[in-house]
Amino acid sequence: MARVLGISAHYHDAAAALVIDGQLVAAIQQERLSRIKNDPSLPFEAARACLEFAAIEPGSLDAVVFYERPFDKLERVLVNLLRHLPRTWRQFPRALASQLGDKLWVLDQLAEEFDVPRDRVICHAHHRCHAASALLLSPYDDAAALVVDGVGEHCSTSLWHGRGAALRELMSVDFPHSLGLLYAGLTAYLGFAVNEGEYKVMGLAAWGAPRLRDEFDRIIRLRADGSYELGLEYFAHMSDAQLGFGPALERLLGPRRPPGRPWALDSAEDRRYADVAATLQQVLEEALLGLCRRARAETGSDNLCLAGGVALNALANARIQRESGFARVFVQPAAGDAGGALGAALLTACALGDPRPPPLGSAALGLPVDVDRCRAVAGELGLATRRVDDPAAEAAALLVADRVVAHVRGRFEWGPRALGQRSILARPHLQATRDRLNRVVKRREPFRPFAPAVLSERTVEYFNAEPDDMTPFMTTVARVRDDRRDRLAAVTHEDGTARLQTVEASRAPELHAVLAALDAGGADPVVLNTSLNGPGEPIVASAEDALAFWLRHGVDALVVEDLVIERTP
Amino acid sequence: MSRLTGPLARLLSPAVWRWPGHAARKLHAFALAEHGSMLDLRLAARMTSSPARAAAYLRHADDEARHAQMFGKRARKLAGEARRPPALGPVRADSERLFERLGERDFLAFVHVGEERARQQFEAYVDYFRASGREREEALFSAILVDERRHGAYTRALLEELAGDPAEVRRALRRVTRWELGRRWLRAGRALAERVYVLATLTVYVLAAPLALLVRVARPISRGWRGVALPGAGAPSRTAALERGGE
Repeated sequence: MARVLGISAHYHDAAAALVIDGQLVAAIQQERLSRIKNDPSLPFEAARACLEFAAIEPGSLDAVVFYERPFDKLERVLVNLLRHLPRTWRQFPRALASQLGDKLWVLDQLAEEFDVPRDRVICHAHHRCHAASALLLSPYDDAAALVVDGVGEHCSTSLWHGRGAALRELMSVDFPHSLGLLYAGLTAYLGFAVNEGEYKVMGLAAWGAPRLRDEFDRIIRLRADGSYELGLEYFAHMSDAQLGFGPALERLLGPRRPPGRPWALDSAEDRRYADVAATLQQVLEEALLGLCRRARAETGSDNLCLAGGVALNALANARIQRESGFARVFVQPAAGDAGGALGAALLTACALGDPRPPPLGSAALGLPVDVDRCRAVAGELGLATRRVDDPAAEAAALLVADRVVAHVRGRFEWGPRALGQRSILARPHLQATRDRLNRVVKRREPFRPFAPAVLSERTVEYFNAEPDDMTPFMTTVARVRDDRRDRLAAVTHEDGTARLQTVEASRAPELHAVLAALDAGGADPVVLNTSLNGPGEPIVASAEDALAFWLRHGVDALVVEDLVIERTP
Repeated sequence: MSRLTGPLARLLSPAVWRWPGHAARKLHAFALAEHGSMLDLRLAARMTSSPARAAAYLRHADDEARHAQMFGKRARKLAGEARRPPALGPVRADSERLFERLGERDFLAFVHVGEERARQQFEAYVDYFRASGREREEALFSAILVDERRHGAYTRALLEELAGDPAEVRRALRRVTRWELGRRWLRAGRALAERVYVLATLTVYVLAAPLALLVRVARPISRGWRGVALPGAGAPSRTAALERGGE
């Protein structure tokens, strides 16, 4: 029986995860506590929060596990820098400083910080951690796992076969060929921030048509054996860590889009950028389908687990579910680098003799909110608060009155999606609600959709889909039923799909209660569910974060456990 | 240093604000400073034991977020007017975690000193913009100046409340001034060391050039699948599988 702390850090989305006696006890992304979006720094605060939540001392840990092999990473970085000399001269000093000055010594830093013997601090390979994070928390005993991200130590795509707690690597595709870096390069070309703007590209894709296949056939070649090869002349990730694409890409697709320029999708220029996004999305889906079919052929399994940052592409996941031949597909909600912390901890716990954990039930793995503190600080801020007996009924009543509700209940979520614990909720029937949310809070680009959450057992009444292993975590999309589109106008995307969350009482009890209360009152048991954060901010975690959000953004009501704060209309 | 802030700002204003590109960079730097301050204040709100002070920090953080937005917006506008527009990144700063590093009393002293310095600087800028007929910039700094004065006053009041006696307030203010000077010294040293380091590594880079040929031959870029396992090979034992991943 072991106590294992998993850590991921240094690139983007640092996180800590704590596994005790084979049970996942807590998992927290550093950004939620530091309030720095995608915070890559070593997640000491998140780790301490996990330990405090479990009421254990760092000294009692049996292992602290890092999600990457620092020396393997250094080797790849050095080989790449030398291979692409002299184009890498600008990157060379920075890369060496960061590797030799910091990243290489991460295991010693962890031992020092947690005051544990150095031999209790170990590491696993990046992609192995990703694969474990999905496989060991999936509901499958036998499954293929496909890991697709920017790059780990050497590889950017890997196929695995998992049986019970055992994990076998089958094959991989190495850097610099990478689907994650393909998407990142095109994200930068479209004027969005890499590691943040990928969702925007996915949203934009619905507004364009995949008219640029000839051009993309030169950018990426898909092979019959399921692998792929980038046209490296179009990319710069080998020599420029910042930009990702090269001048040849602009010669092929036209000039890049300037960052920050307002979108006008009725203009020919922006339609062309939308076409780039649509073609990219189509090509990515086909590349992933090729990989999945190969995974199925290699493993013979009916089940697939996806991990790595690319597995957060909900459109592609839906297509994989439909067309790859796998009966069931699972994506762990923090599929990106944060998930590596989870995989690292689970791998080590199993190696130390603990049983494989049960399938992931709920993503609410963070810290609870301190409602007494919230009331005290709200009082000092001069906010009128009231306590209610039935917060779900109260939230439902506010929603029925077409009010926008900030909903802070339970432990906060693991992963980039708000799943009801730290969400903004609104009724989904009015397009105007979407516009209002964009105006007062989100200030998103006009093409980005909002997501619905639906009572699980009522899913088929609103969507052409049944609940599956992905829908509880909002990692897939489904088509909105034609006869329900007018009632789901605020959450139906341009292409008729929605990134839905199916809500069960066991997984998200607070949100389930709100939906059940809506249903009992005769309203549709569906809400618009978007993350409780302002633009460029991490999702709210604590009571103070919730109050800071309330001060800054014009939502109508804030529900913090049984405490309600309302704005007078 | 704080006595020099106002006169220095007056002296340098013509050079700082004359060109739109330069002005845009300056405003962007202010936006980043306000954003960083907002992060520190929100963390302080979470960490202080007093709900009253938490509320004060949250209100202050809200002002800083608004200021960051105002500075950022004007910076982007001015950047657009520049002949060679500067590349301004997103307004996103790092937190210095000052509350944790300094403790609440010195944190308050630090914030107070910063607010007072900003007030003196912004007063000089308002005068300059008024004299040069730049109404937008004058309005921007005047609006923010109102908040800076309020922040200076409340942090002083809270500091006095927390310190207990005026001598301790003076000591705290001196301590953070010294701490800030030390930080500037370290930053200057780091900037110098970075330049020396870049030169040194570029020398190493040039010397390593022959290795590049070797690497290209010995470690060419691989294409397609690597390490295909034989079909039908059984899964290794759990321990063996995990050992392959463990260190």
